[in-house]
Amino acid sequence: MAIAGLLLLMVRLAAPAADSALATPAVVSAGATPTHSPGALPAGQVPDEPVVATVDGTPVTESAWQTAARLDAVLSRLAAQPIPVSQETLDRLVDEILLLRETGLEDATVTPAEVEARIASLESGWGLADAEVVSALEAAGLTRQSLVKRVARLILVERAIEILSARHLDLDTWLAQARQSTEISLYQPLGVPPQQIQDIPSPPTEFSPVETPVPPEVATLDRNLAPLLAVDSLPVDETSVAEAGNSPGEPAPDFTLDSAQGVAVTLSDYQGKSNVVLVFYRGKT
Amino acid sequence: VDLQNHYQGFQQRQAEVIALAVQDVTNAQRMVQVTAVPFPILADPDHAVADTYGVYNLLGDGLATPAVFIIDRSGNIVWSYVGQNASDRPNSQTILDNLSPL
Repeated sequence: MAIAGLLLLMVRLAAPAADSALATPAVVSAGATPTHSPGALPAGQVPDEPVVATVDGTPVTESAWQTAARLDAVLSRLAAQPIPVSQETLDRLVDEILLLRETGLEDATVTPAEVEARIASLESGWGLADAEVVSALEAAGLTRQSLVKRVARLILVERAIEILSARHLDLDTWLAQARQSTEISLYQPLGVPPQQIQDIPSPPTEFSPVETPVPPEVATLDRNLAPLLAVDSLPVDETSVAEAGNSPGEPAPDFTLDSAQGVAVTLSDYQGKSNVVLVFYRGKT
Repeated sequence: VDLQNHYQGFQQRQAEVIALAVQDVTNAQRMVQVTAVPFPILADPDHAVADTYGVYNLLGDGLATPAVFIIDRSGNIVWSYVGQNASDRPNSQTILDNLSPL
């Protein structure tokens, strides 16, 4: 899984999403503030927050891991790909640190344009508008900035993989050796202490979480993280449509708003000419 | 919603797609640049229209609830779907099916 997961992540995420998956994009039922990306702290520095692993002293903080796991869940759902269990995400974070350290790219930077281009290409592959992706992220307690940071890091990891490939190294073999020769510590307990789970705001609406399937060997780990990774994958129930302000049969309230394309649009202008499908995106605060 | 992929289907049913988002014009422009959507995206920064349609802040997060309204040529709402959560949207086929009788 190790290197395959790393290599395939961007490819998998770039895959067009199936239509059915688009109807119910990812929602992870937790909200917490994402922090810096893993490995952002200098090696040896002790962060003042819980650490779930260290790689030769480079810490992976619990919040960084949770953020990454939630991003994995959201992006995998958007791409209609299986959601990795949180242990896989942690494995990958460790692999990323190993790769970036080996290639000296730990402190390298990626231009915002490069990141935006990659995000645009991912979104285009998913057939989703940026606002929809942002909505899915926000529903998971993440921000667009979390995605920007993650994609920037993945671009660096891709560079690292290219460098190692240019050295004619078999990546899986190299990674296995690197893991053996590196002091990697996983701290117990790995998960979120119960009181912290309760501190996390509950989702803003009612739905039944479906737990991500958990292999037995990581059951302890994932039981702790399961509430963070609960995914709403229930089919849309048409009989449960909320009764909002306007219902069928009533005149549609008229409005005029500026469009992003630069012209004002008035709903009543369409009257007598065509039907209108009015779509409310989530928007952003 | 994969509206873009089904845009032709909407056109065949003489339906114009209009998208609204509770955000300023700049953010809406970014959406359009990134996605090259063929339909207008309207900025509803003070959520006035989302309020009028009863879809603002239903989820308690200061955003619009995902929702779709089909409005016929007479200007009447003939079908609506208001999401129960942030990811609850009707798919394009459902919207198209409800456009067919019009």
